[in-house]
Amino acid sequence: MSDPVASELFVALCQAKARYCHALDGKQWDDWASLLARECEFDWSEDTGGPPLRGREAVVAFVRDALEGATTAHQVHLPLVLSADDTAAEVIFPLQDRLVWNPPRDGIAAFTGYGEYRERWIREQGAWRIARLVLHRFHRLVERAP
Amino acid sequence: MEITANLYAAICQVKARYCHHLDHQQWEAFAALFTPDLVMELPGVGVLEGRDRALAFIRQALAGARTCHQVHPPRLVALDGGVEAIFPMQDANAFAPPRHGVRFQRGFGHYRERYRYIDQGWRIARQRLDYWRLDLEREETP
Repeated sequence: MSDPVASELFVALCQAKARYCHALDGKQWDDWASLLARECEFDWSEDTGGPPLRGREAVVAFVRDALEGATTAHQVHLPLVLSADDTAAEVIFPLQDRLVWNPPRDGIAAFTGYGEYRERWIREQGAWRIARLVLHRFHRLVERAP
Repeated sequence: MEITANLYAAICQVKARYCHHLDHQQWEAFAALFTPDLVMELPGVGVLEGRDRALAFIRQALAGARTCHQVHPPRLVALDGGVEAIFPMQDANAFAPPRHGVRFQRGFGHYRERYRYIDQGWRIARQRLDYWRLDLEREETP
């Protein structure tokens, strides 16, 4: 019941995730890639309907293309650390994201999402990196192009 | 008492759990986050005394709702025998069927809370929610 998460770990995960959002919205792809484990698996199937992507290069290439021409704002809230040791952590990061396409893409002008990232972080080469990410949505608000 | 980094992380964890269990409607895990003598004050509802009473109300109020509560870094103040926390929050709640004509609402506000350490954990003993702003989307009238 009590959550004796070490403050060092809590701060380290918050910092890594803040950097993740900042690099993503700034489209700083090298920096963003440095937060992904080499053999990572990303599952956005609730949004895309597609299978999970495997491997850092494939994930970065997909996101880079998906966000081409979009202005994005990913904001995360206080994380819930489900379990953790020195080498791995299971974490839930609540997320609100807003994406705007101008001009619209595939008939969509904007999207606001409320959800959570379910993540497994691992220590790789001395840094915390995402080994697995599953995106779960509570709400998807789509604004279609007029 | 002093607000140490570990205390800050511990209180944040309780509140992260609060949002998670509430939005996934995991009521037993949710109940464990409160003291039995909980006093809860909700906008438009008033004061609910006692954990069982407050939780029964929430459970019934959220039946059929899809909620998403998100909180931001808190302000913590040490008190005698506890911690006071102010958590900025936003929520986005969908009601199907609509409730009082509202099908979706977004709230922006803050929780004011009192935490006590009992049974090896920090628990919420008092909670008051105030919205700065509430945006309502009503169902379209035919």
